[in-house]
Amino acid sequence: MDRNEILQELNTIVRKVFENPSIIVTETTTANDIDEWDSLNHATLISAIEKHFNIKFKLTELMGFKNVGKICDSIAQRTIK
Amino acid sequence: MLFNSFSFLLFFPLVILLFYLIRQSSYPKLVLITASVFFILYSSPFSLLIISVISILNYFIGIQIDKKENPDKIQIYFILGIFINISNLFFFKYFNFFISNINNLSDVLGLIQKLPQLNLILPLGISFYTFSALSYLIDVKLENISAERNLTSFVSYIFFFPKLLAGPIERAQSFLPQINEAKGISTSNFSEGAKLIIWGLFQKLVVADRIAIYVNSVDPHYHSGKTILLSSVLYTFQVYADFSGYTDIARGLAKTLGFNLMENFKRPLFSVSITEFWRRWHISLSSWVNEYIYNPLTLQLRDYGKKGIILALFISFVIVGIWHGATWTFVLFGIIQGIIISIELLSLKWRRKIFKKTPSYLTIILGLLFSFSTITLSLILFRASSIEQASDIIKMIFNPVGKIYYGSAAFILYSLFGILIILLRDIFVEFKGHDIFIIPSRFFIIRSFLYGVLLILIMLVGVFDGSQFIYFQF
Repeated sequence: MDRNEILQELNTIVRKVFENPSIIVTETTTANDIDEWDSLNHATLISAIEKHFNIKFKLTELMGFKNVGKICDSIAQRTIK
Repeated sequence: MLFNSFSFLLFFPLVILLFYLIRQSSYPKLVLITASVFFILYSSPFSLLIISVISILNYFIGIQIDKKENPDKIQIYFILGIFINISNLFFFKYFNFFISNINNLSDVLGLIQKLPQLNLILPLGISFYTFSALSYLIDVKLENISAERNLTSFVSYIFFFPKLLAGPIERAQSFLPQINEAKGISTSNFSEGAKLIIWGLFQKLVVADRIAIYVNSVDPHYHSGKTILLSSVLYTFQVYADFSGYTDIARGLAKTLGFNLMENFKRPLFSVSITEFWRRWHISLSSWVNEYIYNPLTLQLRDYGKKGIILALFISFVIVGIWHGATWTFVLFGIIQGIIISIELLSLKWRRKIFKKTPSYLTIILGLLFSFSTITLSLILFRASSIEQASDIIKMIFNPVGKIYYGSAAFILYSLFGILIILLRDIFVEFKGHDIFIIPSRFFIIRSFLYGVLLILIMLVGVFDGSQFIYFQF
């Protein structure tokens, strides 16, 4: 799975969790860019990402997720061999 | 040493003079440390000992965490640092509360043995600098910042006297670079700082302390429900004017020396929900708890869905409550905020649906009334000596019978006038986007006139009894 595919799958998860099919995320998207992205949805989103990719993030990693690109980095580290 | 005291009036010009005279590269920090040491020594030499030990330990532990050598070693230093800060705060602020509750429990269980309480003095500013030190270590651990290698810079950050007694809880990330680049006094900073100080003094001396005369004279044993209701409403304005006044003086003092302290209030009385209130009130504390407690907890509890979020909210607000003081009234204050914010969070979706069908002015008015009355009722726990007393006061408020006591006519006029000026200024900032008292006006005459009026009001109506700021006790 390459980085583009990760971003595409992330986009699908984000749309599903935030119940908004028109959202398009890029590597630079942050929580401030999307109305629905509050603390409640953030925790649900992280949990959904972990289930989808069958991975578990560390708390220190989660604290460093400043944008979608950082989430991609962490997923890529675990899924790109 | 209080900002509204005569001794401070002598002390601060001397600091400015020294800061102005000594402009060479490394000296500003030494002037800052000397001034802060004198400021603490003047009130409590013991506090100086505690803050010095805590600063030096955090300085060394920060460097050890930042060495990035052995992860296990880093973790040990990190846990040690967190333990030192929390146990220091716990010992001085919460130890006797803890012991008295153990003793109460022993009574219930019929045990005779009682644990002794200690005669402890609460070191100055301990709740504020402990949180600054904790966030510093966490940020170094998360590699958001590098550890400060210069001891005088680090000590200047923790000791900085304008923010020492009651915040804002300044983050190392924004304050340490300012210390390291301290350039000294400039005319524009001095002018902006002076404006903030005058506005802060107005809020404290003219509004908060004048309302305090009335609020302190009301006694639930002798006065009617209507009187208690009036004094509770006024107390909300008093706490706001007192703490916001303090913060503006602190920010003004820092600004005259060339430092920016963060904004602590963003027109909190214009909040339309309690969630919004906590984004606008004591921002340096609420954002700290949000960043270092609530967010990590929600992430840690992410697999529990909404239950995890609610638990994280409760823990965060109990911490906010107990941060204010070691009493059950503050714990209950936190729990109440946690309950209301949880309800607001869970009802957000259907509230949005209802709001779409309701005229916006109606939702705003209802939201403003709901937030103001909830905060007014919650703040009763700030003043009450026990939960029983708070409950009696609330019962009286909901049964507003009897004659109302206004004090003197002058009191009502001065208080309403003061509140009106604060609200007008807040309306101006909220809707016009700039501050008539802080941002320089294009017209020198208008600006001078406004400050002249404020100064005259401070002289004529201000209460000069050197009363303490409410938040100093925390």
